[in-house]
Amino acid sequence: MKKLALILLVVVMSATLILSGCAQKPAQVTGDLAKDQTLKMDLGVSEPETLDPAMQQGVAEFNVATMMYEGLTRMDDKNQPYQGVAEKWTVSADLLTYTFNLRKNAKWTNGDPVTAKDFEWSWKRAIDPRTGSPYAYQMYYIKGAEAANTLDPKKDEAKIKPALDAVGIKVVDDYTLQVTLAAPASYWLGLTSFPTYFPVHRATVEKLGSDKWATEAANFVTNGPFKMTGWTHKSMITMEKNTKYWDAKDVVLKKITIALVDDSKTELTMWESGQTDFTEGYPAAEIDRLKKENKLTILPYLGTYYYSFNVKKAPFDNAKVRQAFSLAINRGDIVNKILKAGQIPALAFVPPGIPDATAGSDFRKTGGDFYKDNDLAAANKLLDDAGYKDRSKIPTIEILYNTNPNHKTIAEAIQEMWSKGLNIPKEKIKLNSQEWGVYLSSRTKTHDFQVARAGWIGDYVDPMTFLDMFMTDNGNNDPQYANKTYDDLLNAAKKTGDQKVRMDNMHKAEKILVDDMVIAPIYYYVHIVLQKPYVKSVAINTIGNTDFVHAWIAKH
Amino acid sequence: MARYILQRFFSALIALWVLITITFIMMHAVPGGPFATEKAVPEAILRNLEQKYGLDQPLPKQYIRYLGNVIRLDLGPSYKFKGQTVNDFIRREFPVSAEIGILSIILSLLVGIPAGVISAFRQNKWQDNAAMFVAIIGVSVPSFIVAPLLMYVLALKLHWLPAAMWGMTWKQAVMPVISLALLPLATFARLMRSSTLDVISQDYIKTARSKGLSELQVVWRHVMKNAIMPVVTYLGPLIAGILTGTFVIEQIFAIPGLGREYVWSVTNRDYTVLLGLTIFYGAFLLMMNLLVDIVYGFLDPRIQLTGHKE
Amino acid sequence: MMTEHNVTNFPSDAFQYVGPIPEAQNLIVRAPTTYWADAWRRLKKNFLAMASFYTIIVLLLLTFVGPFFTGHTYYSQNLDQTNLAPGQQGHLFGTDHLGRDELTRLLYGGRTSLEVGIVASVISIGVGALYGGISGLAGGRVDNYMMRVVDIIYGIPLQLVVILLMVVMGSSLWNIFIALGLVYWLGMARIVRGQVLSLKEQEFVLAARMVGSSQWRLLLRHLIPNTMGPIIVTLTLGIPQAIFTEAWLSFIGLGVQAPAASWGVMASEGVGGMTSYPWQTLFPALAISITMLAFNFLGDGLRDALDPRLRR
Repeated sequence: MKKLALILLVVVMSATLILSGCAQKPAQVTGDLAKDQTLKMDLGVSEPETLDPAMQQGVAEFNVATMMYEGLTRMDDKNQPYQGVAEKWTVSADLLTYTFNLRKNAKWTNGDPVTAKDFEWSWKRAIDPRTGSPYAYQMYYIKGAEAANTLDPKKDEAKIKPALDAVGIKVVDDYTLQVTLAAPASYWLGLTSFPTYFPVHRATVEKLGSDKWATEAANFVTNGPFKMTGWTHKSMITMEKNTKYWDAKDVVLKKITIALVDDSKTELTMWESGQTDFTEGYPAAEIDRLKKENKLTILPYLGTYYYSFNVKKAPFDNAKVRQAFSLAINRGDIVNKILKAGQIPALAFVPPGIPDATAGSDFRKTGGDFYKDNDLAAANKLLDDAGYKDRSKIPTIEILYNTNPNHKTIAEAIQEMWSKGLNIPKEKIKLNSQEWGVYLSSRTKTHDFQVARAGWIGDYVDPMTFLDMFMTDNGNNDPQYANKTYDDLLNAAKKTGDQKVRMDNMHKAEKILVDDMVIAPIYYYVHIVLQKPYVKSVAINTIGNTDFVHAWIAKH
Repeated sequence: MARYILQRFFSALIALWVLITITFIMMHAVPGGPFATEKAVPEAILRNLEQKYGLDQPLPKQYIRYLGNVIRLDLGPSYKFKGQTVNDFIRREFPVSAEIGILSIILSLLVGIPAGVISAFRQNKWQDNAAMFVAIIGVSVPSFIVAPLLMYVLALKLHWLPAAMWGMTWKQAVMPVISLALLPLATFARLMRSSTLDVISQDYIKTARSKGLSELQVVWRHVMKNAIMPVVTYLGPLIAGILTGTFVIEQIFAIPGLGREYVWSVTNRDYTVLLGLTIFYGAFLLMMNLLVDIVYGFLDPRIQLTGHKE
Repeated sequence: MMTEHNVTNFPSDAFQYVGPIPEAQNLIVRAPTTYWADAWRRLKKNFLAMASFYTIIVLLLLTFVGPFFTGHTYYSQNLDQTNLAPGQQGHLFGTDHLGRDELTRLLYGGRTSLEVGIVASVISIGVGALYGGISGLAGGRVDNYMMRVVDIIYGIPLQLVVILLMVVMGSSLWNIFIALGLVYWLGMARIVRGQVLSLKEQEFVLAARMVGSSQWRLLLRHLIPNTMGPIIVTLTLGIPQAIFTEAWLSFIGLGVQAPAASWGVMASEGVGGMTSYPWQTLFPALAISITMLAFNFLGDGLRDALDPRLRR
């Protein structure tokens, strides 16, 4: 799906670019340390699905894996990769070949050195279709990876080994790894900090079995800043500082306890009663109070909450109707009077926080807003023009959302806004709340909806992660939008190496998307964290990944 | 008796098989699947996953293979929690749920039964009305309110108890056990009151009293044994239900029990977990109800379960 | 065993026709009443039960007529007056997170909750008591099969059934009734069956059999009335469970769709903000509790009134 393949960052003229040290290791301790360097947090899930990095697909799992393992790079809170196991790296002129020099002092917890072979083996394991890695498509940037991963594990069994051998991962020597990409991708380097790209300890995996090795604390042989000392399933994970970690001197935390709690009320009570220091869970109804008590940390988050119109279902097969309904949403009220946590009304689709072509510019700022919030006059005129001057002629509309109090509240508010703002009889706009699995099926598989609630968090920091969703054949194209100009613009952007042309095309595409109002953007997300004031230097980037490697507890 | 138990055992096996079949069919009829995600995953990756777990096979084949595994007591792997099996879940989580369950049942019996008997003997007096008032509040305010309320008062405001989690200190058991015990406690009190009233108006109690037995002896020897029938009936499914875990309590107090597993397995469409726990619960229930019927015979020797009297 | 009590073999000359005895007729000291009239007469004497009875009538009136007199609708929002405390800005019970009047929503939501409670009771009695009674009376193999059916239904994951119902039939109050109908008779069936197993061996049943009562008559006139105690307790305890099940079903998407509400839904949604806006949980919980107190005390009164042994 992520055929992000052909993205050229900059046209580079020099033969080889040395990119090492493009971001600095984050700031260190800046105050008095508490005696007890234990961080108590909760994970927001009742149990990580797996702690085998190749099999992970959720943020909670990523965050735990980031404590235990280390990839070639790590990522700071500005989404910039910095050195992890790789000490330095070079990129070829065509931006296709990366050569990583691994540090020689990187060790596994059992004392084995971390070598290029570990990376080769681990990455190919994730690519191997027999492993069944759900996030393997994050590897498709590497030459030959997609071809190998899409082989049928049963029918093409014999072809798998040759295909894996052909993947563009080459061990030059124990401490040099060469990777060839299928096409230039500016943000691929950042992906090497993601769990799918983490190395795993081959001997352990082979001894205990590829599916079974990562289930008990005692089995883990890892290479990250912390090592697991206990895993009481569905209850608690404990980590301790890994003294064999190559940069152990810069790891201040001695211990991390991770409570496996997924009930937001409970998470908040545990945090407020001091049972935890760090949580991301709280019931929405408490936000007003928490904000007044100054307990919230509000961080930028690369995501948009929106409503999808099914362009194949009346009345939303008519662009004017879609526009009318979108314009009749009072985003300001939703954000300021209901959500109240600093979300931003979305007057376009791509959220702020993505750099544009010229240095220091922001894609959203350059693109600007596309429409006025709560523009009832325009909305009513559009609906009249669409042939619904007599509002009773509008077919009954159902808003689909999954059962969750927050989505319900927004749906109820929008129902009222549409009914009042567009003078549509109340009984013509219905709410349809469906259980999660059913909702997913209605929205993404059977497309059995008129208008559905949706949200998207970027996979990487580029407008493409938001825009290519609505290309005709994309698996995420729930509205079933099909627009050739749109597809052409984005395909051209994916092929060109000229960052200016790329961004230009994406601005044009976004304008088409919003003019056609295939979706009604509602707000840009924020990432809300509750951390005690003495918890310092937790690196949370704008796509939600959290790194505790340099965190410390201040004296309190 | 042995013949009866054997007969019940076989009917239980058939019931279990019917239960598995119905659940299997319904489970696959419900939209969604274990690997469905909000972000679209490439077709090939879905296929890889389905092959790995044998979900690409036709349903009848999957069904037969599953039954074969169940006979060998292998309930299969979880699709959601990679590398863990349903047997692991039951082995780890049943003792936790059972511990809370047993404590709650003991608490509710110890308080509920005396409260009911006393109420009956003081019918329509203040003791009766007060006890019943409390009992009714106990059932009217559900655990999803009681539990957070307890947590708010005892953990957040008074700092007497830890808010949640399990297995580190006995203090963590207090709130879950109380929240869980309220409903059965109230039920026992009310059932006992009602059946005690039935019993004490009967002639043999009057006889017993006229023999000069003390009130306590009357209660202990004659009333209890005859009045406890409905409580015993109620206990059968209750024990099966409570010992295999309660979702709300385990969810709110972050307790690693089977109840939470069961409910989440539906949301996750974790087919093997759902089926496995359904079987476990079903078998438990059938066993408990057999036990209840046997206890009937002890409490009231006139009861003829086999029905061969005439 | 039955032959010892055989009543048909008396010699025909053992009795003699004496004709009407006027004195004996005059001896009737109590006006002839039916079973129900008699029960009603005794119920009226029970203060708590009658107070509860009137409370229920008032509640029904309030929920069906009340929403027209609050000056608000259950759905109209005012985003500038969200989460008002009780008494502010003319909202007696405050407002919710969308600025809707809590009192109106509470009264309106009572309809759903009371309907659910009533339907659950009807199913419980109509299906459960009868099913359990038949099973217990029949005994033996029939009992074994009938009770295994109950066990199987007990064992089926309700959540799955509910999701399937929603997918197949969509969301409506009727589907809630269907879902409740599937499960709300099981407990009752087990309780009644247990009681009947015991009762059917007692002397009065033997007596009834002797005078030639049919099985049905035996069940409906003798066994079930003698099980009234546990029946009423099970019933009254089941109603709050049904009301909260409705909240859960609505949450999964089966029940009343927003913005309509029910007490259960309001209570469960209020819990999220219990620290900040406790009244949003308190009022619906209170409404449910008051209703339950009324139903329970009325139930106890009824039990006493209907008890065949107390009839005199």
